[in-house]
Amino acid sequence: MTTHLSPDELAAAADGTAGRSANAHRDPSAATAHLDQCPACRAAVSELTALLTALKSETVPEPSPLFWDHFSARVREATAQVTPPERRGWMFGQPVLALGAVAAVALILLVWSSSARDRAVSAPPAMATTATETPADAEVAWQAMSEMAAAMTADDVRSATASAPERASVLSELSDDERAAFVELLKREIGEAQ
Amino acid sequence: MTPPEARAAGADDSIALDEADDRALVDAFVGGRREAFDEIVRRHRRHVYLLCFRFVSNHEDASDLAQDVFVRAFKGLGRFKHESSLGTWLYRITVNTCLNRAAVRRPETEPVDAKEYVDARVVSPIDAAVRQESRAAVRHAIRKLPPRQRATLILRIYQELSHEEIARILGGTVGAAKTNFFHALGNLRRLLSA
Repeated sequence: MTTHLSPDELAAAADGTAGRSANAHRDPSAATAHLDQCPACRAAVSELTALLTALKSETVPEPSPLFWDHFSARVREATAQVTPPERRGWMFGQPVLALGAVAAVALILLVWSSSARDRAVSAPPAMATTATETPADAEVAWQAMSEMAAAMTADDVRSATASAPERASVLSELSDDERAAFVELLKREIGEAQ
Repeated sequence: MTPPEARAAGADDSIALDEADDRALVDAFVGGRREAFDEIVRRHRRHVYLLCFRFVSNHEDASDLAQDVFVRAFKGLGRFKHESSLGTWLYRITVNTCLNRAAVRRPETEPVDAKEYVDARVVSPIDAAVRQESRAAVRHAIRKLPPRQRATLILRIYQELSHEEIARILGGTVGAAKTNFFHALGNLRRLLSA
């Protein structure tokens, strides 16, 4: 005698689905042959069959026919505040537009990262900072420097250049006329630069 | 979604909803025709309700659960890709909704409206009482099964789904569905003979 039916085979025999499964443990005809010869397996199948019959006879009481319209109204009310879904997400609903958008974003990122890399290589940090100044800002700065140079005295120069003795000594040796000429020279330089 | 967008998304306002198949109804709804969902509810409400009733055995909870199922379906229909039938998809939502609710189920009482009307002219009062008691015992035993076994048993016996369909709905292998089915029968046999 072959081995007893497995739990799945017992359930399948009771359920009437034996032999329908492609991944059965053994040939269904072999299971049937075993069942013919084995009183224990037959008793087990018979018990399960009786149980299934009892379960299938268990019916659900049908609601009143009036219930269904009431039910539909309840669902309609419950979904009234819910935003209806859009078609399978924007990616799948509008493939051409979606691809176009993705390509545009990729292009912007590419240009931006390339330009940022160029700035990082060619410009030192100080230049990067002044790059944000406007022409109006530069004009005000040059004007301030020009006025400061015109108002400078020998003492101012000496104290301002205390940390640079060589240049300070040269400036302190200038006469008043020479210093005035130097300031004019500075003004002209500043004017040309503007 | 505005009407022009709905038309762009493929909604066909000309189709008669009560004659459309499920696929056309889904497309119409996702395309902007909200009333298509009313037709989906009308078509599937009974099956969904009866399946819910199998889990909770009383009308009040079953109707609440069925309503939850359709609200979830309303929210998720935009992601439905027709990989299974709409009915199978709704079954999946129903089973998940019922299993989630199982954790907070009510005390197990037999509601008045679940009792079957018995014609005393045909069935003796004693037989009727035995039958009533037997059915109550079966319902009680089914409610005591572990959730997946209960779901498998209900889908197999009452919805007459194949093990393959059950595996798709519950998310598992066909072998696991068969094993769950056998264990459910074994546990029921034990519970009913206790």
